[in-house]
Amino acid sequence: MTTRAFNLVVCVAALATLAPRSARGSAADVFEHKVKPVSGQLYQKAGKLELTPLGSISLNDAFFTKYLGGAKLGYHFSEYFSLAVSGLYGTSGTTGSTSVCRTTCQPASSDQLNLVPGEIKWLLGAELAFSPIYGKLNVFAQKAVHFDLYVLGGVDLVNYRDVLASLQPGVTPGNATSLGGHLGVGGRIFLASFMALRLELKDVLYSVPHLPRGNLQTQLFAEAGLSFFVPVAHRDGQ
Amino acid sequence: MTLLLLLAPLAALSQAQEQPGLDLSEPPPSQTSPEKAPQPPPPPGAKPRDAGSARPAEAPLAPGERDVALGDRVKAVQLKGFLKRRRLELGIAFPCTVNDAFYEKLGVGGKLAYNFEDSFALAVRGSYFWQIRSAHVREGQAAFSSQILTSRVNGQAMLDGIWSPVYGKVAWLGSRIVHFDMYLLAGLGSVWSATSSTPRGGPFPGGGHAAAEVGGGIRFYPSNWLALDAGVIGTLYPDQPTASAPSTVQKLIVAQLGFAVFFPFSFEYARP
Repeated sequence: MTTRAFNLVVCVAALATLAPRSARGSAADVFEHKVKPVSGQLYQKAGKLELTPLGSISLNDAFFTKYLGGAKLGYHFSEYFSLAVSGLYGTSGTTGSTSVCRTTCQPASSDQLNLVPGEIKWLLGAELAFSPIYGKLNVFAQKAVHFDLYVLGGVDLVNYRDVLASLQPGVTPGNATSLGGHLGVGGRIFLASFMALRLELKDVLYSVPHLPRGNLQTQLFAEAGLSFFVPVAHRDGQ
Repeated sequence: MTLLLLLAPLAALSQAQEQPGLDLSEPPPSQTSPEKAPQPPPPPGAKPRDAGSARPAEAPLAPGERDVALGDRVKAVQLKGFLKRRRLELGIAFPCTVNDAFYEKLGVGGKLAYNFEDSFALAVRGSYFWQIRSAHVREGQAAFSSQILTSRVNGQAMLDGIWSPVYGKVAWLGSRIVHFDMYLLAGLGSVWSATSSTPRGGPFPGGGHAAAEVGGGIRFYPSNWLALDAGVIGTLYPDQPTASAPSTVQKLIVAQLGFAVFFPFSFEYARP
């Protein structure tokens, strides 16, 4: 389990290393220093609240695929930094890896599934996001699409179905809650001055103390939501 | 008349679309106004309009409205800041799998590409993987009293076509320009797994498994000769993890970060 956490840390470190610190405008761009890098930053976030109803699905699951829904409420201190709290609740289903094949393949029994981790029930989180990149591109040579990209990190309260240490037929473990954290990347595609499509990929780390070994769990989530900004109007002078 | 009123906004829209971007490199148009075309006679029954009322008074702009008007009249990219046409590209990438919770793969890869056009390149790409067994293997074996089958990938060699239809630029912390493009790739090639060699030999004894892949990603260009690459690639290949199991189509989905160096290091600008 720690391998994926290690992978994530390596990926984030690589991103930080490859970040365009020395990025510069090409000499070929005749508008360098004349027109702002991205002229007309129509969609500004500083000083705004952002409310995002969102859905989330787990990726790279070993035993359970999670389908969560919830909301995120954030405040943008500047164009680059924001703080948000979120809540997600949902259900899960077993993956194909839980099929047990001997002469024929059958789904694992509930007693067997009680021995493996990963059935997350709900998540509460707080996170800090840093959004250094704002850009726009032309789609079909006409419509300009504005977007931003960000990295985020935060702490979580993770509620999950607990695991049993050994096979105990008929015994159902209860739910447990543990402290965790997450790292991720995301982007917004602005649809209007008050609305944006928000996409995120984040890895949640949490511990399952009742596992005999490898009790640090990681869970990759892909999230999509529709953000609404309040107030809608621009703040002048930005 | 109602029809004309309904069509008026469409006419204005089509007129606006004739000039998708504001070309600031052109000199300003002459101040002398051309001779006005003769106005068609008003339809019978129509009231003559006062010249002053023909153009509605401009409403005061709310804060930000000027930005809105200007923002999308300026094209996202006036002139491309990075040209790839007829340049060779040598890249290194570091892939890791995102679809196998039991046996994760970390790899290193190389790429040699030639850009026939700014938006199209042909690339030879290869990767080598190390497999890492996660704690889920032990958990699954203990819970289900069974083995977990896996196709152990060793490496791959692919020939890809890379199409970059989207080009843009972003502001880094609101000040510096970074050019980027987004690409799609598709290709064919071969994947070598544990079953490619003795003793099993696999479906293609002694060799790789035929493979196909699709993917996409984004590349940032911080200098005239360097690109930073992030992408996701999915590779499909047939394999038979164990002799007793049926052959199945394996899916290898990797996320990768990398960089590429372009030769020659500089380019001569030509308007796209």
